[in-house]
Amino acid sequence: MDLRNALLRAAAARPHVLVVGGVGTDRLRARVEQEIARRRWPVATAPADADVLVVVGRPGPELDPVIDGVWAAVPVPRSRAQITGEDEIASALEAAVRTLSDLTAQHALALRDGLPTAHTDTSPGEQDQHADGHDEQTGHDEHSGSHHHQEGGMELPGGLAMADLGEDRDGLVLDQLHVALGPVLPEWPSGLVVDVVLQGDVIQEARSRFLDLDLDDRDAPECLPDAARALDSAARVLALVGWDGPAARARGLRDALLFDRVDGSRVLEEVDDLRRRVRRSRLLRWMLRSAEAGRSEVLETLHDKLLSARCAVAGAGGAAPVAVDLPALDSRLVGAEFAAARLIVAVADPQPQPTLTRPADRGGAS
Amino acid sequence: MSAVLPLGWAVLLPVLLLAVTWAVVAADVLAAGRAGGRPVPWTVAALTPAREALRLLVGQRRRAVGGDELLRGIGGAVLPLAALLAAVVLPLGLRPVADLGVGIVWFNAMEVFAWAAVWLVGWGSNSTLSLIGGYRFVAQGLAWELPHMFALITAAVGAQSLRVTDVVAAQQGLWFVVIMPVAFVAFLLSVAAMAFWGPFGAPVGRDVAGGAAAELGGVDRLVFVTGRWLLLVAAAAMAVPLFLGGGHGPWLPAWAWVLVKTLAVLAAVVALRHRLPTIRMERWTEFSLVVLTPATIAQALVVTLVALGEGGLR
Repeated sequence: MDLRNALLRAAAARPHVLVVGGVGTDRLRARVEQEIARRRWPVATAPADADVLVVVGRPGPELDPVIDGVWAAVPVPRSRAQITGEDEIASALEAAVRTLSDLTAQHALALRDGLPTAHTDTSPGEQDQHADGHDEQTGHDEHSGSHHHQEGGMELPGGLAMADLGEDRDGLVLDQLHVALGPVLPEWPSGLVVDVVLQGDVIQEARSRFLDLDLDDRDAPECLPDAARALDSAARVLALVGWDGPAARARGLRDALLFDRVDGSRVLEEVDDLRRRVRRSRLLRWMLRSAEAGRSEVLETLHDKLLSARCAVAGAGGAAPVAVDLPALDSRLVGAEFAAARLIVAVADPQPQPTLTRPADRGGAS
Repeated sequence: MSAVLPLGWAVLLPVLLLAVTWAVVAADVLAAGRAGGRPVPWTVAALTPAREALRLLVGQRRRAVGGDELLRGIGGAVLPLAALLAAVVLPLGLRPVADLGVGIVWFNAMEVFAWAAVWLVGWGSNSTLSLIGGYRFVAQGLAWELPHMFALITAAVGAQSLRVTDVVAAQQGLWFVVIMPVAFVAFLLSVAAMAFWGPFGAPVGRDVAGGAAAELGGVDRLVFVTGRWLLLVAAAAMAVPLFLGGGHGPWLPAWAWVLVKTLAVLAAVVALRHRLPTIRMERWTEFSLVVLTPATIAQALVVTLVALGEGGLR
């Protein structure tokens, strides 16, 4: 018993953390990420890789079942923390580690077989981290006649859906897979879900939406200031191209701007340094530039983001980031390969913009 | 020269490999901390491999929903086994654990098991992102295998033998890296590609949430990740007998030279890794087939002509 306790404690010393937040939690989420980085805890890539699930803010009725699905996929020892305010972060993370190293608590949390409890009342593939409760996919099914729902006869073990058939870009008839990307994916905008039809790793149809957008009780979602938002988005792009060092630096600068009242000139220097590195990397240019649409755009937007961050830090009040609306994002995603699609979403960095508040947003850019 | 190490070394080999892997992972943590502007003290870095291993050991295994457990299990187990079997022909000093007459071919054959391993894990997990990771590795494999084979063949032609100890013996005067630099660079690139690591990490990339490994938990993940690091270490260590003169060197005993050279290769690879972004498969395939493969063929041709000029192939 003592040995098991000691092992659990030692294993809990460096937990991998999965941070999940809904729409409008960017600031709090950044604060949580800063605290995690300060403790040198790694950020998990997927539920299977996570020990601690941190839920930022109060998830709405659409996000909630998704989080439960993610939680079911986190292997024991595990712990879950809900953080709604900046002052709770340190204590919540410490409590999470205590739970991780508590043998009796983990016994209670353990699932038999390591399988998440199957079949709740949401849609197929609910256990999968990228799936969520969403029933509108039936519209895509007509051409093949197969039926995705749990009541249907085509159900596979675990409630997963069968693949359809459809023509691919070369005119071959290949499997089509209906997948919901997000809202829990590394480097993914908070609360965004893109329902895609995949063939291989090429996206054929895309429809993006934000979860829990029409909640009335939520006042204007807290937005990051321009410089921090540009850096946040740039960090995501850099992390997606697998350049972890500069990504971590961009994130560190974002946090410095947001929370650590540091000397502006030092931040400015580091932003310039980062811009130089990104601009100079031939490999990055070679990777992102190609004949394909969307690729060179990625690099230009990345440069623009870093430049606008610099201008905002310098107080020059650079151009406010251009908001990308969801239909435009959808049309860009169609025909893209998965890796390209991830970059397109990351550079677009769509923000939820309820129609009513749009004019106010324009004017209020600071 | 053709003598083989005593049988006990077969047991020691995995221990040695793991020890070197430990050091490399720790160095990687240090380098990552530096690159990210948040330096990690070396004491913390040195403990990190153990902490991570322990974390995964106490962690629960996961069964993928509707996944193929058998295929996934085989895939995961093949990775470290392939690395170990490839390392069997590595001369630790001047003698390897098994001095096969076709050592270079054996080494290459064992590495190719990684193709099957990663694909099986990606496929067996029954998740879209894992499958995309699997696809990516197969595409990557097609791209690195040709230049890799030509690099190996060039070293074999230079020594006029497929036996690894003969290749080392042939470098007593001149290291092969001097006469076949292109093959050496191609070999190092394909080492990282074969271990789907660093700039070639797309099959387990962040954009696909861990890719082939996305659904692995507990000991399954430990075996997979360890296998990947072992592959990297074994393959990078092979650069020493093939191109860097093996155990040859002044003052130090042969085993020390092998260790020093292996660590140097790995240190260079780790340091480079943190300066580079991940390479996209479609770009790499293009480069590999259009530039690297012809370059390695030309290199092999040059070395062959030199070998012929020096008195003909035996």
